[in-house]
Amino acid sequence: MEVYNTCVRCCLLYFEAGGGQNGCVGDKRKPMFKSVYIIDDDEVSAFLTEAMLAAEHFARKYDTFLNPQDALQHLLPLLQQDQRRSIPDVIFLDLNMPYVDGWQFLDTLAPHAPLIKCSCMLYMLTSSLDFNDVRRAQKYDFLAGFLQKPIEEETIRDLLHKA
Amino acid sequence: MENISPPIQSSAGLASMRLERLNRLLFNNYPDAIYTIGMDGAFHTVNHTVCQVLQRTQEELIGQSFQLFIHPEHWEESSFYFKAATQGLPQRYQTVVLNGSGETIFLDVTNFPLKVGSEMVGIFGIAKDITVQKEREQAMLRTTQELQRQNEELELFRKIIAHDFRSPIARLLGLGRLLQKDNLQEKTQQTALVALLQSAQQLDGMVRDLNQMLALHHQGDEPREKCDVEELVQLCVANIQQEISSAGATITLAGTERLELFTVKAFLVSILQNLLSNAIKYRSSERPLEVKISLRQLGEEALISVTDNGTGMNLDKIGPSLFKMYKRFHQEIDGKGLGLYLVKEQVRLLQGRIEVASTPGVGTTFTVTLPMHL
Repeated sequence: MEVYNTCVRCCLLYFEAGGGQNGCVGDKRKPMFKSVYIIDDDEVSAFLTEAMLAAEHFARKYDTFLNPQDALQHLLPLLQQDQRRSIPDVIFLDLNMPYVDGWQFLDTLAPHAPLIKCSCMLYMLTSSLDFNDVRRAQKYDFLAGFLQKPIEEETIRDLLHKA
Repeated sequence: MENISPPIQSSAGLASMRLERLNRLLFNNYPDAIYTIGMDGAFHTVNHTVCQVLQRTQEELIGQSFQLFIHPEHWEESSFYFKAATQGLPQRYQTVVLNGSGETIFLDVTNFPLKVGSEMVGIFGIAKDITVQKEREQAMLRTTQELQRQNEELELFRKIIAHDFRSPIARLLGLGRLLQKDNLQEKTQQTALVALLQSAQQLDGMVRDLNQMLALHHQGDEPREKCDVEELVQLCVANIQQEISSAGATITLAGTERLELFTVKAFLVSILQNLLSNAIKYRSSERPLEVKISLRQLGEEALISVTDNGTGMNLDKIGPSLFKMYKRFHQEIDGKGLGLYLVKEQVRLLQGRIEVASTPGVGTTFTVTLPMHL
């Protein structure tokens, strides 16, 4: 029963991703993405996001930043020097963080919007239910989307499908 | 034509006589204050209502300057309006007078220039007592302000629910879903279980905090009592003795002055205790914590300051967020973030203010200023 479930889930995933059933290689799927940044000051939340992504074989490498400034220190040089191969494929950015919040983070990245749009999928991942946040996020055109915590399997599969 | 003229003239004379009597009747019995004031500013005639409003006899008023009865704050404007009326321009304005018992009476005043022939001799005026109306207006204003404040609070609660409460709930949902997976590593499962409990505890703590805060806002009429601040500090120290000992903190009381406030005891205790807890929470790992509490009276105000040698903060960065709800500024410290918000609200309810000075790496001083008598 378990094997059947896993198989259905994984085949479905590959089917959705356009790979067809041929892409299914038993229980172990090949991660779709090279590298992912998780930027979240909440340790539990960051752990949870990574565990959920890992369970769906989302990426080969997960970098978690509890302090958004650390993430900027990694990311900004890559953007400035246009090192596309090192820029993470997907970024999950929390909103409510001390010192530098998600908005300030986005404002810092704004000058690199064109490069971000073509090299990386930047998602806001927040527990906020505030509709004002969603509206505000729409103003950042290099943001790939606004996701609600907790991140769900369905959403993760959608993201893989978009890849 | 000539035949008709005389009767008209005589009836006009009669009318004028009646009008004069009517005027006198009106002057004496009109429900509003009616008076004449000479060019020197002294009352010339006053009706019965003037005496009632000012609680003075006619003898006490006539010949006295009207300015004597005006509320000092309105002296300047009333002499301006008086001057304008004596220059031939009718005036209508609101002012405040003090009656014989020293009570404030609001008046709606209309002053007309009074001429005999072409010579200006003074003013003629009517004043309506609008004190009840004014008090109603002020009560309405207070209600409006209170409503506005409550609306702002409601907006704050909406934000708390949308942002802060949603956060542990999202974690609980996610952790539950993660734990349902059958292919989890042992280590991941253990971490998730611990985090699940922690999140539930955090949510519980937030519900309790919110409950405490809502209760705070329903306490408008707590009894005020005499509070010896030194005694209350000792009470707080005893309340959190365990925290103090385990932090190895020294708490000293500076200022020998005995400080006795007439205020809401429960709030004052909560303020002191929260400031002490805050100092303990943000102590430096490099030196043992020393907290100095100093008490001072400055006129009608009491100054209570709590100084620590803890981590300090960069206030330029934190600024106005310091007293907000659920804001944390130290990543390594698990603060509920409600303490300083409660302090600020309680200080506000006690009609005081709170100031903070801080240097990163050196320490922080919170100074609470409260009225001696609330």
